[in-house]
Amino acid sequence: MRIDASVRADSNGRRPAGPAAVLSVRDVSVAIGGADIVKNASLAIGRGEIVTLLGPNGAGKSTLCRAICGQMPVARGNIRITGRDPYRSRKAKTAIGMVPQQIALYDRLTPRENLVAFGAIMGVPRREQMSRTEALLERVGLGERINDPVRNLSGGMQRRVNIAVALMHDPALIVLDEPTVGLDARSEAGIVDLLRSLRDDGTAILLVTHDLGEARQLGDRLVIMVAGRVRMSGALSDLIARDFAHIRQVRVRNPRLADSHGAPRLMQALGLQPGNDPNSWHAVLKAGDPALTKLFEAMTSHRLQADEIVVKQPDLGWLLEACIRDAQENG
Amino acid sequence: MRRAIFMIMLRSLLRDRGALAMSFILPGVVFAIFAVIFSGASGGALSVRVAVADLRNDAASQSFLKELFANENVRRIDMAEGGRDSVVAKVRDGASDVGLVVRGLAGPMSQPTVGGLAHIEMITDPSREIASSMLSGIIQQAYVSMLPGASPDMRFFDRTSATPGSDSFSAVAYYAGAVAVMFLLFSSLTQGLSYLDERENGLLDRIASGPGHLGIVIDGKFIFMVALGWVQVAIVFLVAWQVFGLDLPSQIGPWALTTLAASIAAAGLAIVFVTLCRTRKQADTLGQMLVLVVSALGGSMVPRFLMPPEIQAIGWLTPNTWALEAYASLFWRGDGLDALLLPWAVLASIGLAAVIVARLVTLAPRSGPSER
Repeated sequence: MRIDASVRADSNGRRPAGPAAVLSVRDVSVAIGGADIVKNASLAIGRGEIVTLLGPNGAGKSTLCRAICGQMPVARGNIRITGRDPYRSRKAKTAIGMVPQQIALYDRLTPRENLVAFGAIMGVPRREQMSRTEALLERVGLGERINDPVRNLSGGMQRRVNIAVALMHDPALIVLDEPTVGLDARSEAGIVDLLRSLRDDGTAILLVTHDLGEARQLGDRLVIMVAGRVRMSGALSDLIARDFAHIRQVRVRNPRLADSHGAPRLMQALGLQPGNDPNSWHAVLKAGDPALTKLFEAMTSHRLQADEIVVKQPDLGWLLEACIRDAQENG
Repeated sequence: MRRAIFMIMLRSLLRDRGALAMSFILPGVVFAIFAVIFSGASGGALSVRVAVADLRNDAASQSFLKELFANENVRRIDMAEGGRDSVVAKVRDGASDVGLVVRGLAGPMSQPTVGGLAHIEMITDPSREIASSMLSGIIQQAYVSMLPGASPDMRFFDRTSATPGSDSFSAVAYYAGAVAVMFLLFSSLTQGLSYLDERENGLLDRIASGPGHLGIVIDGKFIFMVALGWVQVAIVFLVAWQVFGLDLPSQIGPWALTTLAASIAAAGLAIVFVTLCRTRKQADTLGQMLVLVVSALGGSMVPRFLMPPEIQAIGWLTPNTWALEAYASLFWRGDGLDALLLPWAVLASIGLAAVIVARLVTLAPRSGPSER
């Protein structure tokens, strides 16, 4: 399925770049070794907004993030953080808090020592370093472990310190690269709550993730990148409602007929295709497609039974797959 | 299953060019360098430089000297003017490994002594005891050759130190300096490797994305490494003073500056080295090899005068040589500050130039470690 041109790139769902945009990326291309890894990407994030950046491996997400964080120059276009170029402006960099995917901490130091050290590196006045450290560690729920070496903390705690460090200089924009990778559900929920509270306080957040659930939960808007290009951008509900409202995903799991073994033939006759799981059958149909009516009629006329019959609007995973297919078909 | 593991190891090695070079090329290269340094395999045999003043200057003395320098392991440096004082000065400043004065005694050289005085005075540098021992043997040999049928006679020559009073601790002073500088290089390398740890775990990306830049990381690490290196060398010399009697207090000021200059050089070289390396593993293996080679060339393992002249010349490219020359000037030659200015300037310049290069390397835009 070809993606509607109206949602290609970033034409909709983007806040107009200007004073309100904490981050503005306009038609940016980033080259490594002469090859454009990011091609004409655009996006914007305002205060109190979480934008999730999704895409398969090799999409150019990390390269775009490095350019946003001022670690790489852009080949074309421009990036502005609070109106300044992060590659050239020290002031722009004071507005960025970066949370790498790795636990980028001094693991023999305590959380308190890490925060104070990074506060100094980030230019936080000495008199404010300790008070900010304690407030942040309290906020991320580590008030009682501030004097334990980081290496002795659990993975979830280390992740929270990893985020707290990025907040020491009170940045307007936080860039997080898979902040919950490898965490259990409870620890992940803690990070999600923390990011929501930061958003509620007005921080702009760019969240790079492969976790579709996290992207759905947290993202006020989504940006999907494939092969260096932004393929879709906007709020998930808007994207679906505007361009995919007429689409239905159908899934029938383990279909059975009471009096014969002809269930697979019936599924094929109804226009469903086997999925990766041989007991699962799928179709993408337009709302009101007669095949959908036939499916439900078959339930009575052929006494079709199944463990699960799902008919739903496309979800984020489907959008992502659609973008990947579109990139493969149209470049 | 064992075969599978073996094949995994083999394929991994064959596909890692860096590891391949370190496994198969580096050992041979390092061996060749060490062989040249320690065995004089460059084509020139071990050669002791002997400054000579022939105060007797007659047929007997000339015959003796001719016999002496027929030995290919001694190289003659004639002191046409200045006599004994010139020989002593030559040994003191390191231009000669040992000195030899043929006294102007009236009696025949076939008698080992005249009026209780030996014909030959050997001027020694306690830090080059091996050279003195070698020359002792060669003098005996020449004496016997000059007088067929005579037996070696130890009374034929006597020994005088070019640096009176320094004999008891000169070897300690040499080894304190030699060990301290080699340790300084190892220690700086170890500290410098933290830069690569930080690059690999994202710490540098985090710092680079903030208002600070990686130049501050280089500067901070450099200052720490200089301070740590200074303290480590101080500990070595404190032991040399307290346990072995090295006269550190009398030279404390110049020693402190020499150690500071050596620490600056070691820290600078370590930091530029790690910034040029791609991975910690690469830096760790290659760095240790380099420290060993540089230390061997620079005289931290054996005194440089034992090496072939070409290798001795290469030694001037290492911080070890300059630091050891400075310590030698301080503790056994007793030279003034003038003699220390050049080593200080060279060592400090090496270190500061290396830091500038490291900063340039670090601040240059680079591609990301992985792309998504």
